[in-house]
Amino acid sequence: MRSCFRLVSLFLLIILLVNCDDKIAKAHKVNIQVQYNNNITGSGLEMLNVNAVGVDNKINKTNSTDESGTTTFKLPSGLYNFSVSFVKNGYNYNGYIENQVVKEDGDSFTIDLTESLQQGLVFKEIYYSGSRTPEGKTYTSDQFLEIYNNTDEVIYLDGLTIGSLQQAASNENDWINSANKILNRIALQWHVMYILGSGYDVSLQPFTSVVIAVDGINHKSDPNGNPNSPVDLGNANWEAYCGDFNGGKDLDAVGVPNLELLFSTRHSANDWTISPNGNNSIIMFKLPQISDYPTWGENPNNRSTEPGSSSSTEFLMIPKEYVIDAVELVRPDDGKQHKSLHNDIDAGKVWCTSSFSGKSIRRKVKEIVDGNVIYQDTNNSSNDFLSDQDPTPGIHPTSVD
Amino acid sequence: MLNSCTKLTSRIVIITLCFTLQCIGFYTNAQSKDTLKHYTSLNYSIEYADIWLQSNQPAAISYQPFNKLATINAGFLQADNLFKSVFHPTSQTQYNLSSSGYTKLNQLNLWGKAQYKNTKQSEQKWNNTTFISEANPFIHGDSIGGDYQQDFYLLEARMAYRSASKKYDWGLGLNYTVSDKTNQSDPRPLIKSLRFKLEPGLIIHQQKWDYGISLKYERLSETTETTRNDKSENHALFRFIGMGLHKKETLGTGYPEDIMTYNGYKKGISIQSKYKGLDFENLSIASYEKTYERAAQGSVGQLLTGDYHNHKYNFTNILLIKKEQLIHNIKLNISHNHIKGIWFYQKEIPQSQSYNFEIYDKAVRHKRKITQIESSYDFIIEENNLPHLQVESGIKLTFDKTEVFPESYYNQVNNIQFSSNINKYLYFGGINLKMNLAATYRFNLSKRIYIEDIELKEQITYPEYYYSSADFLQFKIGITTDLLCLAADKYMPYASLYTQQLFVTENSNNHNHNYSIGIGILF
Repeated sequence: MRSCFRLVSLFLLIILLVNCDDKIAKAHKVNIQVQYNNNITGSGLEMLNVNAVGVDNKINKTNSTDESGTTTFKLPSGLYNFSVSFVKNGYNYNGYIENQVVKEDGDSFTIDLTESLQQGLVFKEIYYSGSRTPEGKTYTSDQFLEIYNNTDEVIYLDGLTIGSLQQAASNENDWINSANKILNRIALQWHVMYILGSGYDVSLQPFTSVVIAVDGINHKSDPNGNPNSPVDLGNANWEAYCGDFNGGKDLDAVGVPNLELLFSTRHSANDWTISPNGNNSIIMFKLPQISDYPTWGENPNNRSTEPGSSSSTEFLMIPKEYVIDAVELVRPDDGKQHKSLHNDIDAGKVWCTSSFSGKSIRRKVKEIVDGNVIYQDTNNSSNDFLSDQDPTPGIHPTSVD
Repeated sequence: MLNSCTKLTSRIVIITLCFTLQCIGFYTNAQSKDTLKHYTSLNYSIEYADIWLQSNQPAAISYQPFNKLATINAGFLQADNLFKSVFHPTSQTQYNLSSSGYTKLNQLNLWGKAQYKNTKQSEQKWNNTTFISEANPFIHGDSIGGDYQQDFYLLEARMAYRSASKKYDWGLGLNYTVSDKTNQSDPRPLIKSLRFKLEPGLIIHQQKWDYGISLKYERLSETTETTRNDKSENHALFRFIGMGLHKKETLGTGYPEDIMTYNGYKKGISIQSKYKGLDFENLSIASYEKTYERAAQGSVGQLLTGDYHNHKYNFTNILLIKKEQLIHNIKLNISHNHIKGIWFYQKEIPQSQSYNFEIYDKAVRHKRKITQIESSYDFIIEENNLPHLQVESGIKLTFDKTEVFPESYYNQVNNIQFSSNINKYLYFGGINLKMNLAATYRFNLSKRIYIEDIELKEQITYPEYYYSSADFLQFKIGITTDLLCLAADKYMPYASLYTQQLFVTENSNNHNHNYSIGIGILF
């Protein structure tokens, strides 16, 4: 009996010594301050919707600011992206901060708002995921971009250029300065292609669109196509024909005009490359003078190698002021959705949930006036786009999203 | 349910009787086998020779009743389980081969065992681990799973030395287990596991009192490499946190593989005291064991995916009374597991050619407490130092509560389990038989669960809750026989046949069938 008592006493002592309490995971009070940045002034920071999205968890919360532009969240430890977006007096206001560490009560973050004028041309739809053949192989020749004139005025498309960012969403942004800010020039890779014209040759009427295809064929029925493809691009306005510079490896669809090549890092590629994983964002821009085409890319001042890389490959550098519209495409995976674009170009992100799914991203319809579709454009693709849509090249919705 | 059990029992009895009847004809001409050990009563002879042999004290093999002993055994097991954890396979087919031996050299006692098992585990999902602790919530797996093939190897040895003065015994136990497990469906894991255990022990003898102490140190190492033959598809891998909560990773097109590692240890101490009375012995054992397992993803710049801590406290008291031809063995066991799962909040830090992860916070995300109180009473009738009838009955209470944070989800299950086990030994003519009948009934006393939004609640959370709380009835029937007709002076062949059936009482379609066959030779 005594020995039993001694044994039990000894073990109670061990319990007390070893059973130290570790911190239990809980939600922390996090303060967010929204403010205008140094370059712009304004008022009216009340009732703005601030969105908190977990990078490594599934949390997605929205809270409204008070009159001082402040709001509070209760969030468990983790990495979060905070964003705010609104339109006022014809200007888009966006603020976005990403990968903010929340670990204790009282963590505070500030979102600086950027201001940008609402533009006329917008990406209406981007079908980048591609599809699969009946044999299960991947098929990306049916990718397309659709560009829409979101205004009531004619816009000329001469020199309109499309390019994919070199920076991949799966990695942290390498194109940053010593202050950790994204460089004011955007690095483009693969084929950067443009619409040929002398300045006023190619007009786009109000509230109409053009389709730019990788290959301008009916992919469902053409012998070179894919019966599983969701699109007929035989009526595309342009296609990205690469046969002139890759030894004729690309198809040249009859009756579909070809884009011109401004710059390339992959002359030998079989076709125009758009990442089917959504790993590289897309921009459209115009150079200042039509005479800048087609030699602007040959000027070494307009090129750069990747910072911190030993590779000698040079990429085309486009000042962000030239950008007309952009979409921050990212991968669907947690941790592979790093920001590549400036917040005043695109403060959000959008993605399809899987590659080769035959699905696209499409801009939301904000309103329909006299039968004319006006698409939502807040320069925030998180808010402006729907994902996993059935592609509808050349077709516009008849109801508001 | 009862009809099928009766039929099965009848078949087992008939098969064994037919086989042993063949032997009776030979027995009258065979030599006397009285000097041979009997396999049918071997476990009994060892367990009740001395109360120390009912403990894990390494020095206890000094009390083995035989000078020399060896067995070679081959076995087959078929298990089909509809009532199971979602992390376990639906069926298992296993072939096993083992050999063990014991010898006494003056004051030195040596025991060794080698075992090989080849197991096919069918329809297993969500779990690509092998050797980690059953209660570790930080397991990983995929939703496709498949049929796994496992090769398992075990080497175990114990030695004990009795001092010339017989005042102390010291002992050392070594255990080395290795396993390879894989499945051939994308995403296909290759799981390599290793456990190594070292246990020194000491027993000090006084007049009526013995005092013992033993230590335990065990290392775990497990690596799972997940590859795909078809990299054009995305595959989802799940890192679980507990109660079905998880972090999902996508093994995307172009990404070649995923690597998960587990490293850990167990450290324990056990203190024993034994009192020997006129016709009884009492052994008290108090032990503490700490288990630690770290899960991590990647081979370079690892992402930590959870630290598992388990502090286990155990108290056992065994009272063994031997009076004339009767043995009473009364056991009480109380154990408490205090489990914590610590999650790490990490930020990716890109480095040249690779990534590293910086920990900016850590907190307990999983907590579990399991308390068990178990009591059993074993009653044995002997004749001529051989067992004839053994009846055991037991009761076990389990209190099990799991919580996950910061969501504050929880489940709590309290069960009571009754068990009864009867062994009847028959020695007549050329037959030694041990017939075994056992029954277990688990009844849920209370249960409750609180969750809101868990993505895998229908696939993981609720099925696991059901598995831990459903009432069930389990029967086990078996026969072991010494094949005296085939015996010679130096060896005794034996065979055993067992079946175990489990039925969930509220759903009789939810049942498990297990069958095992073994043959061997006792030297």
